[in-house]
Amino acid sequence: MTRQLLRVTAHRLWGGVLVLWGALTVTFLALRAAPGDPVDTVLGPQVGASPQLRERISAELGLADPWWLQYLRSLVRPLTGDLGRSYQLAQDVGDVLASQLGPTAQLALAATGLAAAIAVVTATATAGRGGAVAAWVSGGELLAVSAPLFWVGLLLLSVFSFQLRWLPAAGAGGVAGLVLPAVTLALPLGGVMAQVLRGALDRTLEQPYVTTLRARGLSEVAVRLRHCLRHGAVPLITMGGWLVGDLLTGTVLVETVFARPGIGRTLVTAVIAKDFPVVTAVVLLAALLFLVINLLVDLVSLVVDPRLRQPGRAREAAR
Amino acid sequence: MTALEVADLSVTFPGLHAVRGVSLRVAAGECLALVGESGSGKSVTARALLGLAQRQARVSATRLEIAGRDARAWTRRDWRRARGRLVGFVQQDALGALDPLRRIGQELAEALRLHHRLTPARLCRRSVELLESVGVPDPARRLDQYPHELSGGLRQRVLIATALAGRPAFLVADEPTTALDTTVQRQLLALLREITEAGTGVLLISHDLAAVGAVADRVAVLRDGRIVEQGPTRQVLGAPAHEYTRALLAAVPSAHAPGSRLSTAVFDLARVSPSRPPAGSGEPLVRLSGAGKVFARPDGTELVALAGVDLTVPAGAVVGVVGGSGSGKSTLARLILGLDTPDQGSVQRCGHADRRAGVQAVFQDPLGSFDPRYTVRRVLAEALAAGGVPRRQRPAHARELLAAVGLAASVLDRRPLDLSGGQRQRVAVARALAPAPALLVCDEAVSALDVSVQAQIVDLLLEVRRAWGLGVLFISHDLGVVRHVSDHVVVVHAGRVVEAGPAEQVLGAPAHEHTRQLLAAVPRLPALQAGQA
Repeated sequence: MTRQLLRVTAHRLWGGVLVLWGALTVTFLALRAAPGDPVDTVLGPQVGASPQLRERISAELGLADPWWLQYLRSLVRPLTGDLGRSYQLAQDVGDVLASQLGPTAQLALAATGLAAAIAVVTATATAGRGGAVAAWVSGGELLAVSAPLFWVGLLLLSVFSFQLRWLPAAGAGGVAGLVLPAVTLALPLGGVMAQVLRGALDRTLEQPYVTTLRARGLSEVAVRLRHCLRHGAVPLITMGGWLVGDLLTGTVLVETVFARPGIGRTLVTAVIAKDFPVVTAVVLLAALLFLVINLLVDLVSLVVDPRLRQPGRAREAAR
Repeated sequence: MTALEVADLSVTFPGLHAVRGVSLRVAAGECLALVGESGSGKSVTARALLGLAQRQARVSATRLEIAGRDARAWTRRDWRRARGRLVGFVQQDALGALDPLRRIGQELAEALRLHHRLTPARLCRRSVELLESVGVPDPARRLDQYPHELSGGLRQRVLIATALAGRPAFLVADEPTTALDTTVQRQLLALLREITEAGTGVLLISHDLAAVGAVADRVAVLRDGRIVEQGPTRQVLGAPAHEYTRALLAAVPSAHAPGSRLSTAVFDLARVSPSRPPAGSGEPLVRLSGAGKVFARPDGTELVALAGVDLTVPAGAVVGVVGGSGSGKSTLARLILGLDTPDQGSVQRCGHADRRAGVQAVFQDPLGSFDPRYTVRRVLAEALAAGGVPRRQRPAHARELLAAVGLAASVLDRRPLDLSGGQRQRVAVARALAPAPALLVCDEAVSALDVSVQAQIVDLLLEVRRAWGLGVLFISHDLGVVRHVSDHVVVVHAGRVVEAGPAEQVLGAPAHEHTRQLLAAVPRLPALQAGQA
């Protein structure tokens, strides 16, 4: 198994290099193609800057260099660990990200945990069972999946903050401030996960080994939790990369709606202001996160499903 | 004590009366075989006796005693407590009756812990003892293995061990030996007999009359949810009283002269004529010289699936290939079909078999080999297109093909799922015949079928061979069928041809040790042993 793990990892690393290169290239092109001038960002609200000043700033930022030099620089710089300085905040991008990473990680982890809990509870409770309860739960999930995130956020805000006054409306103030954003982010995620999990559980419950388990005298709860959940988790794990993508987009919206500090909101302001170094760094971070998650997905799959570790294909082919 | 006493058992589904008044009695230390074809209600009966009937099913009985206890008023909880402890269940393993994600040790421990309070050390010792008792070699090592790392026979033994963990007085075994090699099948039947002798009442459910004859004390024949005949094994299989039992016995190939008709099915082959000139009889269609295939395992080692195979399939002949699972039979089929290329030697297709469409295949699982969304019409049209039949002629051709395999044209608009197993396999044959092939490769093509359906398909294949001068490569683990259809027989073992020659010679007077073993393992009907057939 270890050899297989090493090979999977090596293969992934090479793929990862290509992905990072692609991500940087696309970001470079997109930022250059978008209208607007980064020099305005550096200048801020000062309107009457002289052409000389603008030129000097442009030269300092390296924006006056030929495009290929800028491109090469955008590729090489991150390798040396230099993410550059934010035009807008006049801070090292590394420091900007470091300060914003905490709140976003909190939000993302809380939402993921909540979504997983929603999925496991609703799916194991209703899989393989017909009837009104299952139909309602399934309908609720569909609603959670299809409702726009910002709308859900505003709805929760108006009910729980403005009317009931149970929870704060904005800011990163401790656990109470985390509840509404995390719920908003977790609902659609949990809906998708629950539907995938229930589909997998439905299929698993029809497998012959489940009959064996029941014939053994095992209780329904043990059948579902001890055996079927692991089978059901396989497609969920495979979806890991996609879920992280969803989570990232979600944080952008949620942090904006709830006015929370975090990577998502930083990205939005940076894109609007054409703050090249910040956008590039966030993209790089997201791409790295994707790589790590997908590598984890592969490794965890090997752990969960022993059949993937085996020379089973060769054996089967010999029949 | 009786293991099972059930009277007037009835199971109904919405719109279907699956089991109609079945009465059975299994004494302790007795094996009762419940025999019937697919759809007869065997498995529904088995599940009802375990309290595991499907949600929509309604079960009733005037008497239902399991291990001496009245089960009629049992709640779901009562049933759950009875399962494993009073009644054990063994299913067919081919479909994966063991949780593939858990180690053998975990499965056994779970089954043991449900019924006994054991310390971890005792648990481990009991697991090893259980595996030993069902004849699993090297039991301590097995505990750490996963089901997929075991052979089919071993998996089935492990399954039996988990069912015996709670020491039930009554054991239901649903097709426990189906899909296993004859050698392994015989060993497992002997194990079931041992379990019976040890005092357990066993209900053995099977479609295989010959297999049942080797272990059962009594046989009950089920048809359409009713028991048509019940009595001592020797009597039911030797001197059947009911017409249906006689028909079932008559459909077993080994009861007949090789090549003779097994069924009364009618195939209208005259209307379809192959668009190519018939091959001269005996002209070779495919020639393998020293062909071999090696697979690389992910851990870097090599698996020699096939080595140094010399084989010729002539036109108009049936070449039977026999061997245990893992012997390389299917690799051989893939090489001949051109789905794999040989790593050593050569595979040469000649004459009309040289074209892709000139070699066609029929596989074991008729349902899995069709696109479930295709109607029969589309399945056949696609195959005809592959054979170069112009679009406008395809509908007429499709109808002729169906007639040739003995199906009505009304089947055209149905999907594989709506057809019976026998109809499906006939459609599979029709599809294989559509491009007018010169060579037909049948890989376990009749293994999953009921005897009466198997009889029809075997008849069909032989008739097509006679009418069109097809060459047929007939791969099967069932020596009875192979003996019936084949002109030549090739015995494969561990990737090598160990014996080859005319069918009567190889199967009648085997020269190789392995062939003798295969033959010795074939279960015989008692009537045949007594020479009354």
